[in-house]
Amino acid sequence: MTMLEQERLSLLTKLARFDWSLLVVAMALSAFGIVVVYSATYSSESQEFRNAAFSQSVWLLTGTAIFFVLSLIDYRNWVKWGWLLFLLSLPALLVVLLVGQTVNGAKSWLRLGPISIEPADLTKVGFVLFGAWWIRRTKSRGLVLAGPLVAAMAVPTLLILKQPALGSAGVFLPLCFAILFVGGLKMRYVFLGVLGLLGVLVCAYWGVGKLGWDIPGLKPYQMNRIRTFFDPTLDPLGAGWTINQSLIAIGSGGLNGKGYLKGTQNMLGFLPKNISYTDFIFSVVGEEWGFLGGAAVIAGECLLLLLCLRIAMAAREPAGRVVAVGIAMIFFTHIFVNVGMTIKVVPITGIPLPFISYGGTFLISCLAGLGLVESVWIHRRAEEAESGGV
Amino acid sequence: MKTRQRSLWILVFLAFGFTIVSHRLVELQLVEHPKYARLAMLNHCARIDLPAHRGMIVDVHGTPLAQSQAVYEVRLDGKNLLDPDRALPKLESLLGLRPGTLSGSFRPSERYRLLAKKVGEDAVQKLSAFEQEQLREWRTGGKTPEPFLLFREEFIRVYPNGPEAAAVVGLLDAEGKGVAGVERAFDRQLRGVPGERWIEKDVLGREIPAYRGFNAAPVDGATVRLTLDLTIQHILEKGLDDLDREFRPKAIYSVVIRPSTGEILGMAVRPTFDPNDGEHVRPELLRNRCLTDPVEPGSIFKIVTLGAVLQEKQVSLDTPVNCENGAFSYAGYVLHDSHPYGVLTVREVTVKSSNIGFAKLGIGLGAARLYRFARAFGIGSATGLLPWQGESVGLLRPPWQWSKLSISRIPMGQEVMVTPIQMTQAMAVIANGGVLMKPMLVRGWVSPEGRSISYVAPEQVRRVISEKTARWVSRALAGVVAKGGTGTKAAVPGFTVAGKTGTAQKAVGGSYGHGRYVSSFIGYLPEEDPQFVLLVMVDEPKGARYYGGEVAAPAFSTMAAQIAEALGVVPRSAPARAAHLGAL
Repeated sequence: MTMLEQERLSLLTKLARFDWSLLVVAMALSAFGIVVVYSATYSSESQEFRNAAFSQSVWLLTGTAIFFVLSLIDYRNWVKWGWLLFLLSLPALLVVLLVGQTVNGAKSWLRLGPISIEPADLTKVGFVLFGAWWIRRTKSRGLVLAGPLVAAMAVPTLLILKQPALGSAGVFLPLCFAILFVGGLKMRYVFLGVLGLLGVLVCAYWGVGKLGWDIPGLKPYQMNRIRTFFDPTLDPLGAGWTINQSLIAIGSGGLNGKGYLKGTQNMLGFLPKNISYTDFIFSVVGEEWGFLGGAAVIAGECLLLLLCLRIAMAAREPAGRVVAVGIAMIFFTHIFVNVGMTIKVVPITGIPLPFISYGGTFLISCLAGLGLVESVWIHRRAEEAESGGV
Repeated sequence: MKTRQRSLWILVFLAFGFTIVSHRLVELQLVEHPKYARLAMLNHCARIDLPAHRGMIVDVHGTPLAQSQAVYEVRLDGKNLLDPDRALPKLESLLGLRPGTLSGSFRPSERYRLLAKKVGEDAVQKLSAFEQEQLREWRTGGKTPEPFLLFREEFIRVYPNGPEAAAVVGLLDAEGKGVAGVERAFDRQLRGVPGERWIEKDVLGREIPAYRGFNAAPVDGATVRLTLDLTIQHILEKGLDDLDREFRPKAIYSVVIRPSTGEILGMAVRPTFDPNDGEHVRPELLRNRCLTDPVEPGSIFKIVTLGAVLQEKQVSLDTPVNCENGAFSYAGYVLHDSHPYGVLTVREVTVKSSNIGFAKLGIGLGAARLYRFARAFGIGSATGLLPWQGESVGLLRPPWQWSKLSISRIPMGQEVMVTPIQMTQAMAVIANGGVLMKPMLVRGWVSPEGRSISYVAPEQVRRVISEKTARWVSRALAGVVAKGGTGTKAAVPGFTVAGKTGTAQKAVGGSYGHGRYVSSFIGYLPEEDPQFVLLVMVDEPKGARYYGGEVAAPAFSTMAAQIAEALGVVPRSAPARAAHLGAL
């Protein structure tokens, strides 16, 4: 356990090592997010929606504070207790299934007094810490490494599928894969995994899209969404409505967009008001800010991921690497699936866009995750002293 | 592979994902942008048609001949009718329905039930009053009622004078497009230009009031003022009704024209139709027969021959013509007169309407000149009175197609076909001192607001014969109506009438003499200062009488007297004139 022994750094040293670029990019994205959330909600009839931009600002401040706290605390403190944090997040998933609040058809929310939290977001970060802990714990880079992780992944995946939130559940598979890959899983198992993933994709495309198979365990409406993805004309007013309206919104935005607060699809409710500020926020960006705005958001998110990967490279110790890559992978999956569903690259699944979509728990989870990555960066020097690694 | 470098491989994975997303974004926003921009526009923009009101058709004094009237479609919202047992019988009586027709099949779930169509303003006011009363009653009963009657405005075309002038005015089809008469000829001007309004609506279809979209106000159709005088038209219609009853002919044509301007003052045909009952009109009745139906004119065509020979100074009115005692052999055929005559002057030939006399005048004139004059009188070409009516040019063959016999037949009105309007136009030339005026039916256009926007001036086409010749012809025609002429029954007390009778035997299958006639009289008054020309043409009168002088002339007399009075024409005879002037 010598690896976990920490070099004591003064607060000033830590601040001096701070990677401000990570924070600047995240803040820029979040600020833009609030601006877009305002556009998506200010004309709404319900007070709750109209307050969204303000609430998001409060969440941003809270999240930023958490970011700083987590940056300045050595991440290895968390990795040491990663198994516990992960285990603690699981009962929350159970509780949400029993007493959760149903939003847009999924029982994903836990109401705690004045605030609602989505436990699945916390579980994702918990799983990353769990992965980092296990990689330090075991010497194996084979099945002993992969087995428990895959088993651990299955638990939250199944629980979240039960809510049912297909999108959130789907984050764990690529996340687990990335953790194992960066954690040093032997290449033959990596190839096996890649083959398995490809098989699943081909089955999904050919089986579901062309031959009309059912995926076992999915609710009919989820199956419908996936079918509608392959053929939106199946149900133009139901499941196909949202995707069509999203495509119209983004496509009609063109190069420069229709202008802030001037998107007709957004303002007049063709993009459903209850999802345009969360899962379909990118449609609003695409409509009002055009290709330039959409590309800027994607570039910003991409830059954030690059910064994370740079930190992963700088971390000499595998746990830090796993944390940085894992958090980056959570972001990436969300970005790809969220943006992808608004432009019909992937089927519709309720999953938010990091830093842009409205959502307190998710914004805080993202900033917390980013805080961990920042911590990996600040505490890298200690690793460099230890030669060899794993 | 060092595990540390595996972080870089993650980069490859990310690059792959971002490439897919970016490619799709380019496709969507840059390549397919026009398609989606259009879809977005269709999503939130809606067009509302603003119909233009169709212009009126009015007579020369502004009396409506055709106008659009607002009527209403009434529907019932069953959900808002709180007390159907009591309200429905009242609705039935207000709508004039049999008791039980509504209450028997009432369902509250039926929210858009059609009650009645084409309900007038008065009935709608009564229905509204009843609705308000009911609502007030229910409100005092502690309920919060909402209106249960739905009114939708639509316009129907109304012809206040029924069948009068129907052939001229025409009517609309079910889509509101003119299919006959003035309604068709000036459909574009009457119709106006419909407007449109673009509104922005939200996903629930509610209009966004702040939006200022494209707005084009409708331009209502202009009102056309005809030269037709409804008083004169009414005289014609009544005269034709009388003729119709008395002779049961196949058709009757009648035209009144003001010779000095070419204005059509009246135009009537039998059989006719009621444009208010457009759905049941037989299509063949829709045509304006005065324009579309060529008939063999018979003796009334002799005015053309007479004008030509006098103009060409072949003869004077006093030149003697040998009428061969009623049988004249020419080109292998024998031509007969109805009464045998010896030597007559040209004036007498006209007055007695001697066929042999006119055949000889024609032969003397020659085919080329006769043809030229006939054309100059307007025979063989369309008058262009109304476009889109299928106007016929009649039939006047050029001389090289004439047979040897033609030169003896055409001068008396055989082997030639004219439309009633052409014949009236030719007579108007003589009444107008030899100048042909283009017949006109449109006096001017009036804007929807009632301002006059254009005035159609009379149009002089050509001088056909000299004024002096016209006077001679007129004098001879006055003799027709005077004692000893064929048209004495056309006389109008107090006036000198000039005119010509015609009794054309209809050619059936290329030969004459099957007992079918066209009996006509065409004339004008006062002879010394003609105010109007009136044509009465009866196609195939039934019964013993068939001469123009016996069938058409009496009708002419009756109608002409009334028309003269309507126009305020001053009688010629001294006592009558004195009385008339004294009254002024």
